[in-house]
Amino acid sequence: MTLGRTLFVGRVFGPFGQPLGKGMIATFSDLVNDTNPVHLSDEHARSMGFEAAIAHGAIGSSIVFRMLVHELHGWPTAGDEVTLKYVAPIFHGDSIVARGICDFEDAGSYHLDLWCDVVGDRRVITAEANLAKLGRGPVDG
Amino acid sequence: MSSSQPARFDDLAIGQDWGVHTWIASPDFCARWSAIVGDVAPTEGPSDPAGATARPPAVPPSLAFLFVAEAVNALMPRRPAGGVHAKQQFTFRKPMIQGDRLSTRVVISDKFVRRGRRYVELTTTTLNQDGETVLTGVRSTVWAA
Repeated sequence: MTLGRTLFVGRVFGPFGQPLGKGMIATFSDLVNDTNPVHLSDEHARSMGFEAAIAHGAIGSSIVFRMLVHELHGWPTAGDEVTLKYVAPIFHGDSIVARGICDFEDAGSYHLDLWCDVVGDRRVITAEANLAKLGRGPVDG
Repeated sequence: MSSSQPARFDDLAIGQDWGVHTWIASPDFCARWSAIVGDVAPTEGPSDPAGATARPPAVPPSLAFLFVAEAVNALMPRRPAGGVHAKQQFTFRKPMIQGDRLSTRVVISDKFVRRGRRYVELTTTTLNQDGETVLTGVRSTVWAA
């Protein structure tokens, strides 16, 4: 049994951080062939009601997944479910940090409360995960 | 509904099936994605009971955001400007392996108005080249008009 594989109520995840530079977002846009100017132009983003150009949701979300991959050996496995809500935009240059806690369990799964904040500022993503129990408990891991 | 015009909320109907979009999880693309977002393939690929062959690397799980978004963008009409992606749910069903041919079907599973905002929910189902369901999801979008 290793801690990296084991889930139990009270186990914490993170902090797991990542700065979002303009170069990263431009490279991402190129890779996925997404030229939506709301991600690349401050002027266009302001015309859409944002303060400045916003990062793609996938970039912000990926930090939550990255945290789970790094801190929970073998994630994801069949039956694992994750739900993310985008509660505020992420801007170029923001440094974001993901955290989480296993807050309860039921017969078949562990529940994780997860979130992602801009450092020292606002919450941008809230998330929850229901992870299949098999092989992940402190006894059977 | 002309393809050159944005799809309005009233144009959309629950049950509309927008078809299937296929994306190849090439090892090169997975490597480039990992370099950008820092995500990596899970440390354990699918089990190999015989232990005779090396397990192929899995697809970085955050790539689900990408190929599902690509399917939605490729299959559905243009959205009115001003909408936002509000919520995303994924359920992992089977391992996705680098090199897999992943085909994602997009269906409108719900549409409703809540507190003056128009919401459209899309259910996505992704199959691999063997017809196995590897990922299901629900994507909720605030529709601008």
